[in-house]
Amino acid sequence: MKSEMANRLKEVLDNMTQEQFDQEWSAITALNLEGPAFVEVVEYFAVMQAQLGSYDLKTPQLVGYKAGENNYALAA
Amino acid sequence: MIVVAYQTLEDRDNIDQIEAEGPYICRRHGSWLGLGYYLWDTKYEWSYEWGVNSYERNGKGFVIAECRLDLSKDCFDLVGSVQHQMDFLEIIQQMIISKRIKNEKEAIVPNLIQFMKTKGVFNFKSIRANDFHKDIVRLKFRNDKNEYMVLNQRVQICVITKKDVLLQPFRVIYPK
Repeated sequence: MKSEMANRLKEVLDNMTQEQFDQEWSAITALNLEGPAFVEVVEYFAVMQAQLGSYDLKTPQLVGYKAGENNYALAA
Repeated sequence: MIVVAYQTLEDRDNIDQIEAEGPYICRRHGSWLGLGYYLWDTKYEWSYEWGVNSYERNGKGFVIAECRLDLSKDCFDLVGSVQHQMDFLEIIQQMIISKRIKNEKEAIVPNLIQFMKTKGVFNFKSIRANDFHKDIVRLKFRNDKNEYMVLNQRVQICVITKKDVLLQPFRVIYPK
């Protein structure tokens, strides 16, 4: 069962064109923020559900990842 | 819940200004929970360690300011709320399933949080999160089992809006 927040996110995404999304997303990526990558939790999803579709799991970030340590050092 | 929190700042000989204007928004790219004011939760030593590693090792001085934060309402609590942890995973999952993000390098938590803020989906005033710091304590439930509890996780708070969260005063306590 999806959380209310996930449902609201889905609703927002369903009501945007890809062009609109790209435009708004580019304004955010322009901030050049750094942080945990989705790929770090894909493995968890893969185990929990088999419905995610294709996402590149070959990135080396899954190897030797130490949760949060670097991110904290960057943000404090 | 009201917690004591600490923010480490570069010493620019402006303590009066810090106490009047602080805390300060994080300007580093490593704002890993999105834009906000980053503070250490409760444990002064984490803020001091950060000052040594981030400023002192680069030949700069630092100050530490203390305040109290009201997290009783609208805190996305990834430390104390299992529901929020589940919500967090679900929103990441939702974004992945949507396949909207074309560049995988941009598929990161702070971007997602910023996006949800702009779309009115993420209306929290603060985020609380922890990590596996080097000083964590793993306390085995039983010697013959692998399961253990984790104590002394380092906890950081990202204050998104100061109103209703920051409780004055914001006071410099280091150096004394």
